[in-house]
Amino acid sequence: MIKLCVFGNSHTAALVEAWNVIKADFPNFSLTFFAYPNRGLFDTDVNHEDIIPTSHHVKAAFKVTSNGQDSAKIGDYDGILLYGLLDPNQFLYEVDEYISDQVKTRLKIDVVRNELNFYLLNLIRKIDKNKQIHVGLAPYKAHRGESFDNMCILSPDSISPVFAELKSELNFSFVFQPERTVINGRFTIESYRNDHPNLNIGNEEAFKKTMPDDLKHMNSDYGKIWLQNYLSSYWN
Amino acid sequence: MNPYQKLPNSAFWKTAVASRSMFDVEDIWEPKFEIKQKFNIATYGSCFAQHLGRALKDRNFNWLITEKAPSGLSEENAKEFNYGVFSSRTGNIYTTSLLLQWIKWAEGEMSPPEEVWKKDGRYYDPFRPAIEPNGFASEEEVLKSREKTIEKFKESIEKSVVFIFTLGLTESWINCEHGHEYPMCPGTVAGEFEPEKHKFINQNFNTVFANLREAIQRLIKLNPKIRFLFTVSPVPLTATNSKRNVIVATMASKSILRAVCDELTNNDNRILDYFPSYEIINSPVFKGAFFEPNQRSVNPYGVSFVMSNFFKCLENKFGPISPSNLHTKSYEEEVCEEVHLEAFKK
Repeated sequence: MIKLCVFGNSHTAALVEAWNVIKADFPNFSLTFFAYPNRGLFDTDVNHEDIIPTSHHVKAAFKVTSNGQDSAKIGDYDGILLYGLLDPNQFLYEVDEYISDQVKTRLKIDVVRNELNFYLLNLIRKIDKNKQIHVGLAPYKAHRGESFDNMCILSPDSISPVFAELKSELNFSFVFQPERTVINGRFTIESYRNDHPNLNIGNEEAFKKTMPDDLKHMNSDYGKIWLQNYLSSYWN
Repeated sequence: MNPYQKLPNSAFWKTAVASRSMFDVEDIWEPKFEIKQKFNIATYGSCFAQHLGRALKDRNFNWLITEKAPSGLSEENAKEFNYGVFSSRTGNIYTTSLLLQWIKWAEGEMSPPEEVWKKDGRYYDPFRPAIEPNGFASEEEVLKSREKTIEKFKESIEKSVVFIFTLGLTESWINCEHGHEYPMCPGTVAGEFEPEKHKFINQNFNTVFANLREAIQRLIKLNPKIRFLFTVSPVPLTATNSKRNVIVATMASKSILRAVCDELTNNDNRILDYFPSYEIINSPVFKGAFFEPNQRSVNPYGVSFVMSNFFKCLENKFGPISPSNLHTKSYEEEVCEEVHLEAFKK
């Protein structure tokens, strides 16, 4: 049995729903989710071997999403997945001022270094330097008829070099969005867009706000493809 | 009754120096004009000028940075890439002629040369050779980046109320084919030294004076409300090409720079002033206490002492300065291309 611990935000809901449907197909896997919307997982810290919540609302969400646990004992798991906490869309932006390629690269690293994804990565690495950690990027925004003219193509290859320094420092691997869900290199096919308010993973109010015109969150069909790809490609 | 009887204590060696601890020396500067915390203040010049900018910021003065680090870049990376070192990313402007050159580029009177230096597959700006560690990715990047800095340099002049410039060197390197000046000798940080093309000029009083006077005139044209505060860097030369001992060369250079400042500011002109950081660090009164063991680099106590005097003198004349951010800041080593010359010692 391969035991995986998944930390995530609202994007994780697609995986949770999908896992409930497909777990019978993966009898050798056990997935435990610890999720809270937006940047809520900043309210976490290390206590001995555990990642613990430092606020009541995150503690409550941990109990709901993990089926009763209020902290994550890292030693209990074979691997950790951080899902949806790093948004690939942010690497598309261009700054107005002219800056060199070197500075752009440093800037991207600096920006992401302070993000929730790397906050959690650092916490986990304080507990265990060798545990396998995967970083699953948040999905690209759903495509809804935007013109393809003058769009830059964002490929996994274009992201990885930016993180070379962080990868060697924190020892993790990226899990990129499955190609069959991507259109034009930087959008998610619209049929995978979530169109109903089912993303409640501990904070109903926060999710109501994202509906009904949500291009950022994907549905359980997307979650199914993502998890199938992840479990079969990264753990076999 | 004679004129000496009416002079203040600061005018007499006994009362200003001999009868007090060196750390209690005061009234070393009487500012000609007020520098309000809300004023935009641009800073440029030699390595030591970098301390001025940071000290102004720490004391809640409005240090004008027109070429800002991109939002999100860490302080560490910003410093490494020379953002927030001076008001724009000019790098060190050691000589008055280099200052004049930047001004002429900003005015559009003179186009900056398209010269770019190559080293190990990377590209360097001859006029800011250490502005990016490891240089730029392409020639185009060098030129675009320089163009941006010239634009931001001009903006800093147009927007500033006070322009602080620290004079550093008289020794300079000129491209005698095209007439432009480099801040560093080609072949040191990058580039290739070509004896027939690259000429050494140790500028004399008249040259330094004429260049600074012209720079002032041009800056006033760009911004008629601008006021000037000059300082002379107390930091000795890293190396001299003057064929003299570096001690002698340092004293000669600094004396010329100091004399130029005096000639321009020791008069009734209310927009030109001089702050004696050079004297504070170098005067025998202070017994060399403000230098690091190499007797060249100014130590943090020296920087702090200079800047405390700067603000104290302003307060004495114009009233209290509002609380500072000093508790959150610490001493930072300056970024100084000139130290690269050290690597060429035998």
